[in-house]
Amino acid sequence: MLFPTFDFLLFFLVVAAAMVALEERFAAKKLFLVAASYFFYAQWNARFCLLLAVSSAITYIAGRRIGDSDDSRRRRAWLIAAVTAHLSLLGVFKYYDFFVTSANELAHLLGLQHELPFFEIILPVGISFFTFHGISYVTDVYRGDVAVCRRPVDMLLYMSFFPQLVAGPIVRASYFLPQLAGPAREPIPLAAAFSLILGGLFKKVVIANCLSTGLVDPVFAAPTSYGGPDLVLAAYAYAVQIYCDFSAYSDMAIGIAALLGFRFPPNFAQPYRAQRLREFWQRWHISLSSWLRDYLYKPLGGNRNGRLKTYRNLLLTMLLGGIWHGAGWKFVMWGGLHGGGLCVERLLEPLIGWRPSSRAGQVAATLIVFHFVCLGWIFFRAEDFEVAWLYLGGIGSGWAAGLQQAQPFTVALILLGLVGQFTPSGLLERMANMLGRLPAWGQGSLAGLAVAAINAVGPAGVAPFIYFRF
Amino acid sequence: MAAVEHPAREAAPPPVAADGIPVGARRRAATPGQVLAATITGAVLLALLAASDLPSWAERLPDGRLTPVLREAAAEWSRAVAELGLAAPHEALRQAVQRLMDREW
Repeated sequence: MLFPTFDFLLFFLVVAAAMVALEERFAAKKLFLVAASYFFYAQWNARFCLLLAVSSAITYIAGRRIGDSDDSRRRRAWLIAAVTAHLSLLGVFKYYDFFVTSANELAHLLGLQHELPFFEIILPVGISFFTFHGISYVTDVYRGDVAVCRRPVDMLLYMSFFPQLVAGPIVRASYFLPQLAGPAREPIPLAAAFSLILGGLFKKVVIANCLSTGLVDPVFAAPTSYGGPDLVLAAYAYAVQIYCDFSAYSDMAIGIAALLGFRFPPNFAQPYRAQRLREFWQRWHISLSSWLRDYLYKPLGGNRNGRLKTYRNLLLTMLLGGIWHGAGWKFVMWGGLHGGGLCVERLLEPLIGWRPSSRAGQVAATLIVFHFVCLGWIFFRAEDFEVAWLYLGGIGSGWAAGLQQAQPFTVALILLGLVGQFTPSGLLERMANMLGRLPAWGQGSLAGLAVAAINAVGPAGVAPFIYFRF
Repeated sequence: MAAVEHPAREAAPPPVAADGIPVGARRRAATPGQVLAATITGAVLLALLAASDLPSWAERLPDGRLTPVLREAAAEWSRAVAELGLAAPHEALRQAVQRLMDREW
């Protein structure tokens, strides 16, 4: 069940009606939201609800054991057991076939006859996200950063809450669980939530989907059929597409959670305006980058043990961040590219400084970072390594032939997506305050009109969100 | 993957505890009842203006006892809205965008 569908609208109407009916009964409201979230998840594959429940049970039990024990060795043992269990589930469902394929290829290269069996395991939607929720909770309990969750229903809701279940943002337990302690005292920011949802719908349905069907998919499917201009524009288009696709999901998730009375953290902050690669990662998928910083980079030693170990830790974190996105060597390459870029940037920092001081320097820095990120996206989007190299090799040729695939409309969408990176801060506040002057039914009418217009402008059908597969 | 610890002189990343909806956008607020009213209004308007898409949505529904009834209702609703002329703006907008998409250099 995707957000931009009639199915989801009907589902949300039922949930919103239940929120009204259960307004004064917070415990029942949470229980209903758990049931609704499992129903939502079951729309992909009902069998994976069991996996989600098992993951929640592991997290809950381990959290209780860690929190209730004074024995540091016992606490550590429970932490290790819980993290191992979570990573094992992720390993089996997400990476088993990748490892088997890689091992078999290696065996073939070495002239070995035996092959490991291949199971074609279906990837459960959102497994990476709920696994990270589980790991962060048990680690935070171990560190003493969050109180132990003693109500099973709270844990079930934390792990399964449907707005963020399948593609984030990754919400920390210390952020979300306190919201389950009692009913929210403040009213619902209806206008801001609608603004986020409508903006998200526009980014997903109009910009991302049109760029995908009109330029990105055909060019990446057969890069050798196109000249340099189309290849360059398709790389820019993919940069805009993946941003609009993923940030749209996050915006809608934040808006939907707000309509139900919950808060989510921001996940994007105009990433393509970054002047340093490090800054890019502070603006892109913030909930994942901060997760990796706090649960991987810092435990590895962070930047505390000298330059070389800092570079090693950066590289390892980015490589693992790369493979988090998908079981494939192209994602390892993508992560390695960013890790290498961050190391080089850190190495050059004494020369180039943290931020350019002149206007021209800032523009140049933004362009350099953006093009480096686009280079990474080519590996990320291409079917495999071979296609990525063909793509890169083709960029230098065919400039005389001009554009074949990119049409004025797609170029306008690319520009729109990029201009959106430089809109002034406070736009959401202004939109929300303008929309909020209308009564609730007026806001609903305006939203209905806007959704109908977006529906008319976007291509037929609903493409799944890119990050669902991660 | 900012995987980075920030020396004091560097701009700090948005804190994990930051809110996706900033305080300034929370000034105008509503009750759950108003959320439901607004959602119903929006859904009704959408069902009116985008009625031509309802039959194809109903066709994609998994087979079940209610599905034939839903499909028939969606087709009937779409026809009725088209007869009233309410589907025209939606269709005009779609065609205008299609013309834009088809425009070449």
